[in-house]
Amino acid sequence: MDSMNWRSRAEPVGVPAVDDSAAIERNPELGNVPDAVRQFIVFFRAKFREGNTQEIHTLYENTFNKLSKKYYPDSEWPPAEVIAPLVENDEPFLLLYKELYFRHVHGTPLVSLAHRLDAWQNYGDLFDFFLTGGMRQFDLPPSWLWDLTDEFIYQFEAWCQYRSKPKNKTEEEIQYLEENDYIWNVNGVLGYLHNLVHHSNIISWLLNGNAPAGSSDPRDNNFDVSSLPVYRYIGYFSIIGLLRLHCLLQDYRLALLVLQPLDFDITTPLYTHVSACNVSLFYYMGFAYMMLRRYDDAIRVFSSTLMHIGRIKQYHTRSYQFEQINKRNDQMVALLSICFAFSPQHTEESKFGILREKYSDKLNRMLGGDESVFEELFTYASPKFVSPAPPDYQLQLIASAESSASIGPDPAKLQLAIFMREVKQQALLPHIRSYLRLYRSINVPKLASFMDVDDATCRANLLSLKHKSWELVGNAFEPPVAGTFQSRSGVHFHINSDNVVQIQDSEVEIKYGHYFIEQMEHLDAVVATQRLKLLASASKKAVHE
Amino acid sequence: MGPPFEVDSSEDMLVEEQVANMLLHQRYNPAIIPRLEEYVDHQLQKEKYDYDANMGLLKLYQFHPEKSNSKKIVQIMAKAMLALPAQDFLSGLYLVPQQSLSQEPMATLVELVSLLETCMFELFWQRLAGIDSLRKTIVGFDDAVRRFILDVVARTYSSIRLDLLGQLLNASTEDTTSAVLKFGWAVEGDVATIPPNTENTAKPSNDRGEQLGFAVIASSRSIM
Repeated sequence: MDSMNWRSRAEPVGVPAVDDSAAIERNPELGNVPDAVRQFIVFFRAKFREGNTQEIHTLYENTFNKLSKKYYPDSEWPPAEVIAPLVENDEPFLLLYKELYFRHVHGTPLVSLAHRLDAWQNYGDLFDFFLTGGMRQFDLPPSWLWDLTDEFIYQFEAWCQYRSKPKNKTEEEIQYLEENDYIWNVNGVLGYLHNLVHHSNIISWLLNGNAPAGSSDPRDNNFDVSSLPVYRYIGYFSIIGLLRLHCLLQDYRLALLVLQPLDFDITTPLYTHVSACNVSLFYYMGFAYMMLRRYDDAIRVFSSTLMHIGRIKQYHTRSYQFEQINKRNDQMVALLSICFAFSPQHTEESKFGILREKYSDKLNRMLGGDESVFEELFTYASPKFVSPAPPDYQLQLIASAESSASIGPDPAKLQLAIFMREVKQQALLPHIRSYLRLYRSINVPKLASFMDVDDATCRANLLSLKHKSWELVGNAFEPPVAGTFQSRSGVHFHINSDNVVQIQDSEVEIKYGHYFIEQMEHLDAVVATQRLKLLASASKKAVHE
Repeated sequence: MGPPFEVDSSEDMLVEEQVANMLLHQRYNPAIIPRLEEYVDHQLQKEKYDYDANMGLLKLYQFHPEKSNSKKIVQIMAKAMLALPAQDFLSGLYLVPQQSLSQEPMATLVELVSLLETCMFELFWQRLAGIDSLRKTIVGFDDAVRRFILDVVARTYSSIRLDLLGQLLNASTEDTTSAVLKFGWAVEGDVATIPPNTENTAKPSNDRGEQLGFAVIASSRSIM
């Protein structure tokens, strides 16, 4: 079921009062926990046991966030040990509770080494619970499964940033880190994601045309665990998690390669079930394309995703994912403008509304060769790269605990440097392109004198324009890594043995289709907003009467 | 460590399969590093190329910097350069440790690739001496570079003077002639004519108008 349907129905759940005085007696600390929070936990657990995913979804997505804002804006939720008597020490529920607890702490400045360590162990316990079949009798809404997989990688990312900097660490802590390399170890993180993909049997489900290959009856010998949504989703989201992880680790080819089995070829692939997943998938995929110099594919991925976000935005304003989606949206606009600067034949698409508003000036400066704009946008819009190997902790011990700089290799700097190398290599191309567009034929020495370079340099530039615009191009329905070489130079020319450049009339094909789609989507959004307003005022009226 | 690879050419298939299998099951296991390193030597000597295995090795170095071997890294990157116009060098470069980039011959190799990417071919040949000992370990090095240059030239020129082509390829007119004949180019006097391809001929005008696939519309209309 589509997560958005739940969302539109997300009325506040009436959390009934419960009598938990016996539990408070056993654990006096519980007495300090606000009533509303205790009632929420008891009710949440009951719904979890019932397997009522719609109610779990609302409690998870709305109530938990509301209570967090109200009672724990800058403090922790009660630890699992404190609330355990409330839920009869329900182990599976406590695993999930702790996941929420640590995720909440990671969103505050309170997060400590102990939290990070415990969160890692809890993820281990939770994933082991999945991997040993423990989750077979339970169900969770897909949005939660997505969030917890995504959060797992986020916490790994945060861990790598944390350990690379000596700031705010005591000597004991640094020593502890050095001796305990297993915590958030990259092989461990990869291992869990791969095991979840493997155990969930999701690949076979995808290869079988989005259906379990085996039986959906747990009593059968050939029971297929992918027939259970909770396993299907966690396996699927782990594939997308691997995409993100490989991007953070700067391996863009492997990032695209892990997406091989995904269901890009059907109308409603599984990733569309959770908006945050949809957005994350295409942000990282587009980024990987851009880094591999596949601008055409990056543009295709970014522009369709940006249109999609424009369409769904109004349904998400209350969601946990809203902020994240907005941020990714802005980053993708920046990346899209970089790709347009590299691949200017998309003149029509560059009239894209969002770009028109925010980036037309920056795009022009990039086309004019302003390197600082490339650098600024890349730094803003790229993922937070991490070093998979532990840093040299001995160096951290000598460094000042005040210094916030990281010690040792800085992957973000290196990625930026390689990206800028590409920018420099392509810097002259817009210039040549614009000269070529002025002529139908011109000889190389004349062109060279216009461009104020010698003949050999001019010839090299022409060859380079051909080479740099020869890129792999794939499509939306094939595995992402696949593609064929095509020319995207934006100006069609060739040279003959008399050194004459013949340029074909490079009339830009005017495309109206995307313009109309954009307008239709705009209309849809307006209609949907009005409808929501009408509904809201109608229900208010109904309450008054 | 496993047994050394067979060098007999009839066994090549087997070696490739062995490595592919090893990567399938233990891609992240540092114990496979020595075998992947041997496999790099095998590729250099036998004029073979296995991008996936080499990237796997770079990845293991990234995870285990203490096992990193800068000689192997530069060999892998040199092989990746020879795979141009594929972007193997670029995608490998993202994984090369920062300190290796400033070491020789890696630093020169990176420069040389920039020259190839910006098509400064004459300069490329002039500076090639900087990595001479590396180049000598790679069978078929010059031929692979020339293949790439001819590929770019074929997309840029419809016909080209042989003396100019010789400069770009760093080869005598005789060698140039015999090289291009092998690729099916025609030579008449001092001019080589390149068989027409989509890039070095006029494009057929596109009178089909705008094509908007059903899938594009469908995906945009499936709002919920």
